[in-house]
Amino acid sequence: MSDTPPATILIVDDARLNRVLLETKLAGEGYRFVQAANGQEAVARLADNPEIDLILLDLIMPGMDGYAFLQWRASNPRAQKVPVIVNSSLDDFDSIVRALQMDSYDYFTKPLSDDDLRYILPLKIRNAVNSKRLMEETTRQNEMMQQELDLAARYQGFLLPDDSDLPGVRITFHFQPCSKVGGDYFDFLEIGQDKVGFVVADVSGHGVAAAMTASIVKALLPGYLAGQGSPGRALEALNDDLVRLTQEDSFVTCFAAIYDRPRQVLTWSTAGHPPAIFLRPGRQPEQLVYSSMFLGVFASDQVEVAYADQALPVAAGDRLVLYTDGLTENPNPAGEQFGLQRLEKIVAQGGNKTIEELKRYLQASLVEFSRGVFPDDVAIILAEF
Amino acid sequence: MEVNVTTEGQKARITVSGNIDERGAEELKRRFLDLDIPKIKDVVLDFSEVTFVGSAGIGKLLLLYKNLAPHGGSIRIENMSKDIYTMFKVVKLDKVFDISAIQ
Repeated sequence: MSDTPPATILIVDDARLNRVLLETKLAGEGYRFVQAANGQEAVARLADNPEIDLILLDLIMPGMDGYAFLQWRASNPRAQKVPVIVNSSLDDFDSIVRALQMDSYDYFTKPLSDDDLRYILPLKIRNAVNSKRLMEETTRQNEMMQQELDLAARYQGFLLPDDSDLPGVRITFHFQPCSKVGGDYFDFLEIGQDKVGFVVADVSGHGVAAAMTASIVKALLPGYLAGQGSPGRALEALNDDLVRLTQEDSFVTCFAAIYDRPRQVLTWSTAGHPPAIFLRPGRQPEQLVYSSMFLGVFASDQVEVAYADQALPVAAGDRLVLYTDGLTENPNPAGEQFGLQRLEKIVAQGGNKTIEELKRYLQASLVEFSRGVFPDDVAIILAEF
Repeated sequence: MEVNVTTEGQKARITVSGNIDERGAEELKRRFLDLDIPKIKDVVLDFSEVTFVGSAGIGKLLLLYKNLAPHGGSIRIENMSKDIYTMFKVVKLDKVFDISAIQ
């Protein structure tokens, strides 16, 4: 902190002699001084001199006294950040405790000894000013980071699809990021005239890096799905990109599917994503899952990286439920997870609800279960054929 | 979450207890980085006291694997709970780690 500007100190004391004495004794420390004769003047000086780093405050003064000033300071956010060292002739326990309870940094009784003036007070001033400046710097950096995160969150908003139906499929979704920017991504798209593509992906971790990876998935996967005509081959192509582009300890789980309307077939594939749920009216739900490796960890020619296509006949009224693990792994206060079974049960029992009603019911169940605490992004997509 | 590491020659034994959530994963990564990776061939993780492994934790296990594998190192994870064992199988991590469930 040696290259920071010298501290500016506001001396508040009704006795001019005391103010001059303090200035003279502390002159060797290189401070700048501003003076005030009571609380009102101190308020005015603070407004005129925003550079003030510390206040040396007397307590007994005519007009607004030291306690009244401390009280005013408590309700003024800017003044609160300026530390106060009290210097008063009141040396009883109650006065000292009261001043310290009112958020004073330290308390010196008058008269100050030579040692106090030469060593202790300058050291206390240095500590108080340093911590104030550190706090200002941290606040400034936090604000900057918050602005960047807000910006990133706004960009990520563009990633989400419109809540609209596609030919032959009704769709509704709910998305709730846990810390403004997250790594969940989902999309549905028309492929040619007869097909509809579905994608849900979850990048491990949160924050800007995860959101960037989600953007990469968004930029590449819909094109691969449309171009390859096969969810499995699209996942393989995406895997090879992600192996090159992502950090060593991050990976992506993904479920991708293509619905062929004239043939009434849903072709799906998964890369380590939690099981999608498929429900035929009046039947038990089916889990769409098989053993498969995440994306972005091993190249497609290494360690059993293979994403096979699975075909499923589809009839009108069938439902597909996609989600990310933020739903099923959401804990309740006891640490128990929401879980796949609970989700399956809600989906199975919600057969007579519309998908919008089911979505709202699912959201409400999650809030009730988790008591409103969501440590991860939660994405829920409901489709009805 | 608590992590206890003991090393002996080419072997490291790591006992983890609790929830490997995002914060736990960072702690795990810190402990992995403390290992003398070039010297270590066999890592055994004891998961008997592990209740949950999130995706961040899996990421750190894969990071350790990627650092060990180039010089022939391997990772065994023992005493996994049934749920964690099943989850590792579903995402094919049984092909990466030598895993076994608690008896």
